Amino acid sequence: MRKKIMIIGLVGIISMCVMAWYAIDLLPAIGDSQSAPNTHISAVFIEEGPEATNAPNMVTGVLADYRGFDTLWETTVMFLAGMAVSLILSNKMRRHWHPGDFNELGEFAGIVGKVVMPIVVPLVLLYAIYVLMHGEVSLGGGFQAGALIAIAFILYATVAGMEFSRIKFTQHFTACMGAVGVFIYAMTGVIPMFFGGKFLQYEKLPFHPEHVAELHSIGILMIEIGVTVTVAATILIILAAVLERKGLNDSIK
Amino acid sequence: MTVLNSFLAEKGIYMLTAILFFLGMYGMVTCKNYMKKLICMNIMQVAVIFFFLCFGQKDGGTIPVSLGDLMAADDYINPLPHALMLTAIVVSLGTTGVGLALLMRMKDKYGSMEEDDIVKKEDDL
Repeated sequence: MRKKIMIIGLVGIISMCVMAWYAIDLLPAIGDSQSAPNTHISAVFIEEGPEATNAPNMVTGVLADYRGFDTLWETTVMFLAGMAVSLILSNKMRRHWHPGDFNELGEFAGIVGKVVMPIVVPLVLLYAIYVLMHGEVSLGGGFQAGALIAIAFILYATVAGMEFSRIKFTQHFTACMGAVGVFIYAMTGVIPMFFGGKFLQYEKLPFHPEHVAELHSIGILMIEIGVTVTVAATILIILAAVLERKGLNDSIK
Repeated sequence: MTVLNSFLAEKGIYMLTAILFFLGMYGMVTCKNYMKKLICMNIMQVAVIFFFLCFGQKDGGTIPVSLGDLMAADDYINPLPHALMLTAIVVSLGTTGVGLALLMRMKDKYGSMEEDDIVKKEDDL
C-alpha cells in the first residue's frame, strides 16, 4: 500500500516536471525589462510611486499605501494565527507562569545571560527601531522590524533562558499587544473618515505638517508601527504558548 | 554551448525553483512523519516565493529605492513581487506556527507523529 502511494506520487510528480519543462518556454527571461510582469502597473509604481506616496522606498510605498487595505488583512491573519496557536495549546498541558517559578540556572546560562545578552540584545532592538523608522526612506519596514524585535527575545528564550528577560512574555501580554497592533493599523484607516476622507486616505489625517505630502509619511509610519507590534507579538505568542507547555522548559519547576 | 549558456542564464532559475517545488510536493506525498510533511510544505512555499521574485529582476536595475537622478522605470527592479512576497513570508511563518501547534496536540493524544502509529491507535479506539 505504502509502495503504491510512493510510486503514484513519483509518477505524478515526474509528469508534472515534464509539463513544467514545456511551460518554461512561456515564462519571461530573467532580467527582461520588457516582460509582462515588468511593464503595465509596475512602471506606474516606479515612476509615480515615490512622488504620490512620498516614500522613496517603492516596496514600502506599494505595501503600505497602494495596497494598504491588503496589508491590513495580512496583519489580521498574523494576529489570528497567533490567537489560533494560543487556543490550540491551551489544554491541560498548559502551565501558568508565576514569579519565582524558576530554578537556579546553570553556570553556562548564567554567563551567557549576564555577559553576552546585555551586549547583543540592545543592538538587535536598536537595529529593529532603525529598520522601522527607515521603512519609507530606505530599505526596511514593519514586518522586518517586528521579526527583529521577536528575535531579540527568542535569543533570550533559546540561548540564555527567558528568566533573564526584563519583560516576561506571557500569552496574556502578547495577545494584548497583537490586538493593539491591529487596532493601531485599523484606526489609522478610520481616523481620516472622521475628517471627510476615505478609509486609509492619509491626506485627511488630522496633522498639519509643512507639506501635505508629508501626511503620507506619517500615515505609513503609523501603520508600520501597527504591523511591527502585531508581527512581534505573534511570533512571541507562539514562543510563549510553546514554552508554557509542561516538560518543555526545564528551568520552570 | 552558447545556446545552453543563454538558456541557463535566462530560464535556468525556473528549473531550480521547479525542482525545489516538486521536491517539497514529493515529500508531502510520500513522507510518513507529519512533521516532515509540514516542513516539506514549507519548502514548497519557499519555491513559490523564489518563483515570484524571479519576475521582479531586470538587467541593469538597482534596488527599488528612489535615487532622485534616476527616473526611468528600467532603472529599478520591479517592487511589486517584493511587496507581495514580503507579506507572504511573514504569513507563512504564522501558518507554520499553527501547524506545529496542531502537531504538538497530536503528539499529546497519540504519543507519536508517525502516520502508521496514529492509524493503529485510531483503529484500537
